[in-house]
Amino acid sequence: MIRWLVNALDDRLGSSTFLRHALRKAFPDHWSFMLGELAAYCFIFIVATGTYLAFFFHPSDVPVIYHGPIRSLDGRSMTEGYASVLQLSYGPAIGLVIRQAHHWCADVFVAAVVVHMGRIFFTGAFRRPRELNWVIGLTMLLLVMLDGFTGYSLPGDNLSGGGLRIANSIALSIPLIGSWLAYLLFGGTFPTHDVTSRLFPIHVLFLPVAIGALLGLHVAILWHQKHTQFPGKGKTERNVVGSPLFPHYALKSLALMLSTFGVLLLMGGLIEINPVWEYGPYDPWTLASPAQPDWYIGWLEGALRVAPRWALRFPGHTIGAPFWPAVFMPAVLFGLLYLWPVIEQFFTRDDAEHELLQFPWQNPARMAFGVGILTYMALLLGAGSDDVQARIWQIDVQEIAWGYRIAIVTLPFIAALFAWLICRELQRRHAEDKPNRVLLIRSQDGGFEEERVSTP
Amino acid sequence: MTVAVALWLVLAIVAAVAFATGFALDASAQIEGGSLGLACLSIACALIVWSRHLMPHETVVDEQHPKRSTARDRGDAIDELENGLGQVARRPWLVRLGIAAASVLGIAALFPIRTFGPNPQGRLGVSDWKSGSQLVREDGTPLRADMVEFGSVATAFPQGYIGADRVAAMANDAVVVLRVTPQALQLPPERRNWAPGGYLAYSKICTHLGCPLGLYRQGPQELMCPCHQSVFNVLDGGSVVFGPAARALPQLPLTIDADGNLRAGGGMSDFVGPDNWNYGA
Amino acid sequence: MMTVLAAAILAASNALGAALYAAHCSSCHGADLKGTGNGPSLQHAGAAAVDFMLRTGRMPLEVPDTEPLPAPAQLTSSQIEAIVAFTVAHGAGGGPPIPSVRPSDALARGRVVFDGNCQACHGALGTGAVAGYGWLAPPLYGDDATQIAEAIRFGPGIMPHFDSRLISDDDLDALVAYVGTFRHPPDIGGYSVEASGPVGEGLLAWIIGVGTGSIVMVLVGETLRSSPLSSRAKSPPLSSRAQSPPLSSRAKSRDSDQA
Repeated sequence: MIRWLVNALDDRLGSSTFLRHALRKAFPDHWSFMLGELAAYCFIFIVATGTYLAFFFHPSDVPVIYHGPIRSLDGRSMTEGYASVLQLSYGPAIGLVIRQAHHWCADVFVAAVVVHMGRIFFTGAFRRPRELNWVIGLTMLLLVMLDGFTGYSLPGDNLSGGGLRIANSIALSIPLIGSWLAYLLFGGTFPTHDVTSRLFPIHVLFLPVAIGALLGLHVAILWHQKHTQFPGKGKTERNVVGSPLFPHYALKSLALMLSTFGVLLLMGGLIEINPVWEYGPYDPWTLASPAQPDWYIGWLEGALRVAPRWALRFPGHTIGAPFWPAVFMPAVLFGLLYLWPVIEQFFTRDDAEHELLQFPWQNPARMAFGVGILTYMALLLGAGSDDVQARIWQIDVQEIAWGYRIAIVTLPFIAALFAWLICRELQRRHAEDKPNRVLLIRSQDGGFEEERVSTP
Repeated sequence: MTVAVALWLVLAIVAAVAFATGFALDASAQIEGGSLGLACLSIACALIVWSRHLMPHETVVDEQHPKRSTARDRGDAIDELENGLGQVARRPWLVRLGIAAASVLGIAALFPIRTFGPNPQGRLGVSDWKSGSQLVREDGTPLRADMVEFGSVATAFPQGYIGADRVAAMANDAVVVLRVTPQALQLPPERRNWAPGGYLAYSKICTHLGCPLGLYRQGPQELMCPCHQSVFNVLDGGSVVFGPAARALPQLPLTIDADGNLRAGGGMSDFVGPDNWNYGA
Repeated sequence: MMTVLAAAILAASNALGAALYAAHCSSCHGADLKGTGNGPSLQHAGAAAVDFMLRTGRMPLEVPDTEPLPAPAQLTSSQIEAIVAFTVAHGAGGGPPIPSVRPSDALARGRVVFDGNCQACHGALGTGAVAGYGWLAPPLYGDDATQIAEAIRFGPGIMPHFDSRLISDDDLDALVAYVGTFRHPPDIGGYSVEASGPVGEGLLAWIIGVGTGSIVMVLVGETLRSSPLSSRAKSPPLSSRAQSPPLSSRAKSRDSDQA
């Protein structure tokens, strides 16, 4: 059977030459190298579940009157899109399972990408010749976050509708082009009747196709350049040591794929997420407290909450205060991240090709920068739910907001400093592990003495 | 260990059958998702055990090469490109004309984007409130002065601008109506008669990012926004007390007509909603 | 005979009310119900206010000047009735009376009223939220229908109040019925993560999603310990600057000469 298949393909494609090497390709085995696959399997799962949902969602803001199993919404006016989500959720249970698994997957997907990106960053895997994959990966992160935002805004519930209003207002705050940008994107004064119908093709077509294409490129480049590996016995810059793709690595990867699918399905069935029937349909003149976006937008939310009121007003024009935390700061942040391979190369003067990874502590400056950025993002994320924290810990929300403000401008630097110091210490210790050179000193009467000299 | 793998796979079969059965019997989401997830996870566990204990460990070593091609290939590629471009470049004016054509066509191709939405000029921040507009509730019934006691709060819209087809208007016109004791008012001098009997109306749309300000703190007389916790003082014309909002809340002057209905005494004091580039023009 | 009996019962009840008031309330609200430095006046507060505060355990307040929070009632029902009667007779009348509510079937109407007036402070499912400056808009699923109606009519603390012209008695019946459903939310999707919304969901996505993924990866992959690491091997010098026998971009590799 296999023989027949291989022959049939080879007759037409000459595929055996490729196949023969591909099946034995070495894949380094460190567990953290599978983080990218975790993200990729999330992508497969989310496309599969999303395809199902796309057949049942009505991407329309046309108002309809609801009549269905939810008594408290009976007779209520709502968008057709919202009504279709209610119908799916209260219909055959598998619909709700797939819908919830899809949403859980989005949250997990971005988390997996972030952790994967962290591994790449802290081990220096983005160094030459892999800068291109770093850029592609970072772009995919942004696209996935945007896909998530457009996705949870599709149902037209009160919570995500508020988020869309905020997005619209952020666009408005951009100098020169902001008003036009907001009006062209949304089709008029917010809210228009076109919001959901425009979000839909963005969410199901443009972004997934872009992500898929970039992912294909990302993997193809990885395949061609071969995977990096940690330094170790028998591992050099000129080889790649690992398990063969087939059947060893494929088995492991398959295990990860099925466990990812399994966990997401379990969460989709057992843990409620985004219960839109509780939020009610979107009414722009009423909003429940507390109001948060999904976690991967939470850092933006936190920035908006704690940012100072720096509205720039001059005759005839205003740069609204939200511009700085919501547009300017993220642009600088992601600009820095995009340019990091260049920045690091500039400071280390190291433009050599690297196939061996660094242990994170081997590059204290990079570690400090990364830890600083992560601390900063984590604090912003925390600030985004300051009112929930205020309720839980029974502290005044204004005090918590001030606490976060002070923390955001101090803790990242302190954390970076600590990281740098810890790395230097680890470096020192590992240097001491190296074998010392031994000086043999011959004495006058023929004896030998040892003197240990540590390497510089 | 083979037994362990076998058991996991059997569990997977059982779970998958449980799912199918549950589906046929219209079971809950918990049972259907739980069984399907368990089936996948069981196969995964089987594969994990197989990979760790049954699969013979094998290491392969591939060669890693510097990524650059041979100098000759590189040179050839550069030569090919330069030759090809050189042939075209022999007619520089045609090339320039060609670039011009492509550029103009490219720009022209962007024009349809203009159809995506209207010109924001004159639409941003405006509301439908005019002198004499009657305040009505969401269901269209008039908001009478005697409905709003000291310490009450109500949401209102201008009459004639409500309904499912007027959502954009309602989204910008919504006001909060309150009543405070007149002695407590600290309105600016030009707004002295905007609050007859202590009745106040403010835009419900936060000047930070447009969220509706539903949270009325009746003792301290403040309105708080649930999105980013901007707090506005209702006694002094809507100034910002806390939070990221950078502009005071627009106020609507009120009058009470002969029938006791609340009416607007004019338009909004300021641009409604969040700041944008053209505010201040 | 009946009037004498009734009068006697009334007198006894008044005495009980007076005694209870003196013992639990007068130190802050004043013997004359006109307030002291520690507590506000109860004049014209209304029976609804007194009844609500006592039945939800907010009063008697241990520490003056703090926000009264819901707690198990500290007094029995008949004690509360006596205090209410006493305060009403001594100046607290004139405010909202104890409303009589009959939770109706009109859940949809109740929801419309709730969404428009209440969810901004109390949350979409009545889970409660902060109201700024240390004040809390409490969760709504602990109180019974009468207490919820009382709070709506008189407005405890910084909460605004809504009389029958803003929220009619029929609407109040519907509203109270809808709030009553918060005790048993449908939760068709499973565990509700304490109704914490995207915050709890994000936390679980990390812990369960990335957590189990990491466990699987560690199980099938190698750790640095399992693949022996030797600093003597052909590994690069451990410095922060350029590493290993670098494949420098400027070095000519031997392959390049063989075409």
